[in-house]
Amino acid sequence: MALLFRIVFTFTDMAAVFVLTGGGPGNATQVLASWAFYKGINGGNLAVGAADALIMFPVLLGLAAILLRIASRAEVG
Amino acid sequence: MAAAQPRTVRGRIAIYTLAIAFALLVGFPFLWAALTMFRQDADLYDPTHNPFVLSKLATFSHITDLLKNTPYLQFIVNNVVIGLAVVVITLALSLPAAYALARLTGRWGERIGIAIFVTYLVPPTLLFLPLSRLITTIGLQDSIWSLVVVYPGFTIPLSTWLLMGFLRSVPRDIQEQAQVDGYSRLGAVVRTVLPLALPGIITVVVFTFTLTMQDFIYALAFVSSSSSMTVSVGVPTVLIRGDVFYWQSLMASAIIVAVPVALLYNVFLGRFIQRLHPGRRQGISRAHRGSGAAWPPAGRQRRTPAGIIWRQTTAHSEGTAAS
Repeated sequence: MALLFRIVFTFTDMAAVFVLTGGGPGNATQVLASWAFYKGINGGNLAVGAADALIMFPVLLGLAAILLRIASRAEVG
Repeated sequence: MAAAQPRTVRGRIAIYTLAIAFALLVGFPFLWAALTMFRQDADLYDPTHNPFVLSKLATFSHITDLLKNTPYLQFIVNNVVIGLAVVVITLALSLPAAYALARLTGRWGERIGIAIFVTYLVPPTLLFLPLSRLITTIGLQDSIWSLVVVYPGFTIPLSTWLLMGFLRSVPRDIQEQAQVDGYSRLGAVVRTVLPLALPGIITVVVFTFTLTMQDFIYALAFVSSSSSMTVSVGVPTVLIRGDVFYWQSLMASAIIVAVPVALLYNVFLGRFIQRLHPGRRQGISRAHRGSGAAWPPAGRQRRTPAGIIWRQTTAHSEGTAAS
């Protein structure tokens, strides 16, 4: 469970990127989450930002499903 | 007790060494921040300095600068207002929800509880774009109230989940006894279940408050004027100008907020661990002792033989545990 949390929140964390590098130099340190912010809010291009954020969703969903299954199996066993 | 004391001296030494090493590792950033906040500029930018001592006199100028020349205090006030409002909203909604899920819905309660918890896993990074649109539509952009509206979206699932665990650990018999004695269900819950779940409720309050302080992305997306910013967003905005980091003030701002929260956590951490403890009977009685209230609760003694019930259930559970 703790692992699941960590993965999800690390995957979607953009505060570190935003504060430390601002995605720069260029876009070299941009992650999906921070890029969604720059496009959607700062750039005013809501559609691109939303699409970018949605790309994360199936990835996270799959990950969560796998980890939850492992966790429940461990509880039964 | 599950955590047995290691018997041998060597085992103890190993555990203490490990604990101390871990404490140092975790405490190091705080030490660093605390040292940096008193450093003079000349000291900070001297590449040959020893980072663990102040080679020049300590200075408070960066701290006073932070407090006087930046809206830092305003950030803290915003944080407190948001935190309190969100705590009230969260408790008002998640307490009844958690009680219903823990007690009234039977097998489905568990499943719905898990479903609610899974919504907590939907990350804010996915939600902030659609929500920012929504916030603009209802005209709350640039206001701390936008955050008050949005934060319960992730605090309620977590709180409901936590409270379900706490409420389930309160023996059913106690509430039933109060109902037999003529209280309505609501009255019985308020008078017997809630006092027993108090450590859980306090834990949820602390958790909710800290979660609202930690949030970065919502605050960044919804608020752009510095008068309604929170600490987490406001401080980097104000104290990082271009490529210049005002390190001493940054460190001071982190320490000033982090230390009270850390102390608060320390006070309630023991109670939180009790919840994770599988021995539920022990958990309650200990938690109850911890809350400073006598068992059975004063004033209930005459009207309900709750104490007797308590002893009976305790004896019963001990009996089943032994067999």
